[in-house]
Amino acid sequence: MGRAGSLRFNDAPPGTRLAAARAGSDWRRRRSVGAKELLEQIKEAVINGKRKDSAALCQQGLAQNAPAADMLNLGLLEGMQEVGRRFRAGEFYIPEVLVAARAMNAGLEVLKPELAKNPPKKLGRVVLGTVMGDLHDIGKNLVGIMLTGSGFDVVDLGIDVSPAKFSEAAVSNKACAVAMSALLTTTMVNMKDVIGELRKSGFKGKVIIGGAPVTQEFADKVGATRLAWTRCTCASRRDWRTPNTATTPLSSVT
Amino acid sequence: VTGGRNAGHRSADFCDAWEMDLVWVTNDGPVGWEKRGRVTDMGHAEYVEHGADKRQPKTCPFREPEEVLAFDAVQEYGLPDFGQLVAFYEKSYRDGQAARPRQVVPGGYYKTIVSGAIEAFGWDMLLLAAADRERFEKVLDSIFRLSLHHFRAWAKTSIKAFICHDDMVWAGGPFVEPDFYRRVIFPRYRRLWAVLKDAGKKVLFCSDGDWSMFVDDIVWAGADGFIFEPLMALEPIVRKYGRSHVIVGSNVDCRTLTWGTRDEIQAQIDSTLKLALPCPGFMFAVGNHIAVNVPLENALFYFDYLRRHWHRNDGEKGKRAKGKRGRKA
Repeated sequence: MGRAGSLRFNDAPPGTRLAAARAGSDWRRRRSVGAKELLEQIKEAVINGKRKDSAALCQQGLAQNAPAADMLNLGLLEGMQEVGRRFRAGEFYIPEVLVAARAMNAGLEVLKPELAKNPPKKLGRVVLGTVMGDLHDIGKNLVGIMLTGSGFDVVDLGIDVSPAKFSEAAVSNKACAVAMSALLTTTMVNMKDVIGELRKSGFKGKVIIGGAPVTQEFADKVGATRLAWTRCTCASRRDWRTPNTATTPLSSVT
Repeated sequence: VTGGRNAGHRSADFCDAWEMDLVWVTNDGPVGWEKRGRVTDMGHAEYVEHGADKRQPKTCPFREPEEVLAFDAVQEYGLPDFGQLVAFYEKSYRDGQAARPRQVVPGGYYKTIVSGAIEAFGWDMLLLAAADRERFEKVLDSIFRLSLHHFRAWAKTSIKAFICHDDMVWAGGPFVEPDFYRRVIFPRYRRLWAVLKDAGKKVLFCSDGDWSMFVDDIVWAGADGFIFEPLMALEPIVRKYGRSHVIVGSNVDCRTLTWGTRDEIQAQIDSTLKLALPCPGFMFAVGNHIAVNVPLENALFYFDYLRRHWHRNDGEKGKRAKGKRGRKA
């Protein structure tokens, strides 16, 4: 297949491109037009939030011996990347992100057994949770969705997570980052304890904080690597590489 | 100030001691939705010691967005007997006003449209269902029809003012495109508020989050005033509407009260007073409430400084120009 006819890798997570290219090269050589179409259809199914279509297309791909890694990286995740782009551009709103994530997960469920045989390389593992005393998780869940869609492995600890639990999970999962959120001004102070516990454990990764009351000033004060996350900025790879960029706090339920 | 719900007369004494003018209160009727049909969780914090939220989150009874899209609030929860509802609201108002004779005790409704959807479905399922805007509008319309019944009942009472609460946006702004609000939500606010305004009630609108972009729409819908959180762009709103509308808010942020210095608290009070001065009236309120973890000395400093400076004429500072209470800015 010539360069002009090859699949686009531009927006695929960088850590996964090589593996996807190797695994899928034969399949794409053999079925170039059909392969491209199928991956485009999977991507479109995610963008349009078509859960059943996404699962059916992944099933179809497996039946055609399409590499699961291709369908994941160049179909499902590319779809989520496009959803993130449209969200940041104000073309999509939160409902569209959520239905897209459901479509991505439906496809992922189909691919999981195949992916388990040859796990694709991830960008890294992120430990996620709301701080102790805080039960508001919709923003945290959205962040998890977008991180997954960007090629990160997400370990979601859920709500009301103690500093010790954050720390243990970060170390045992060899996380590249810990991301935590709080909605209440009464609980955001607990972020400082989490960061203290992480540093005590020798954790060297990034610490990302977010939530409606959190400001850059607060992030600096408690020693967070960065403030994340609105419009899915925490999952934007460009933002990820500029760790101290201030952004608006995460849209949150108040 | 949060808390004190069960403090009885001590709460009333506190309101007097702090010279409060308005009690924030809403009342959605004698029987909660949870006793009438399916509900999820509004997500309100229930503070325990040290400010932790220890409510028990509820599981959403709606398993798929399709179930949400087939939902009708009037069918689910029913319309209470109108006469009984009016009597209930009238009594609750009279009792509340009698307990706090020196404050304005308004009527109010909490689950107007979007907040009703949050209570019924929780945010996750609400958002999934909202992806189908056309059918989601019908769901919101059913909540509107339920609210209309209650607003009509409130309109029959002797309240002077009414707080219409609806958490319609997030901290980052609208959760769906602004056109949806303008097409679906605000025209329904207008119909709800017309009922109250025709009966001579003043309507104060209150929503969490940042709805700065919608203030003109809220005015169009008929609000007589706004209750703000710190995420709102207070200054341009006060400059535009401070002379014609009731403003309840300030630049004072509870985070500053909690962790800031006295200079920082003072600066936020001063900047608000400067904004308030050209307004015929201004209700000072701390955005996000004075929460339980605000140090007492900061809370006292805030109030003492504010009380010393809220008079319009500096020459009359501290004087009681109008009865016992003075004339606040």
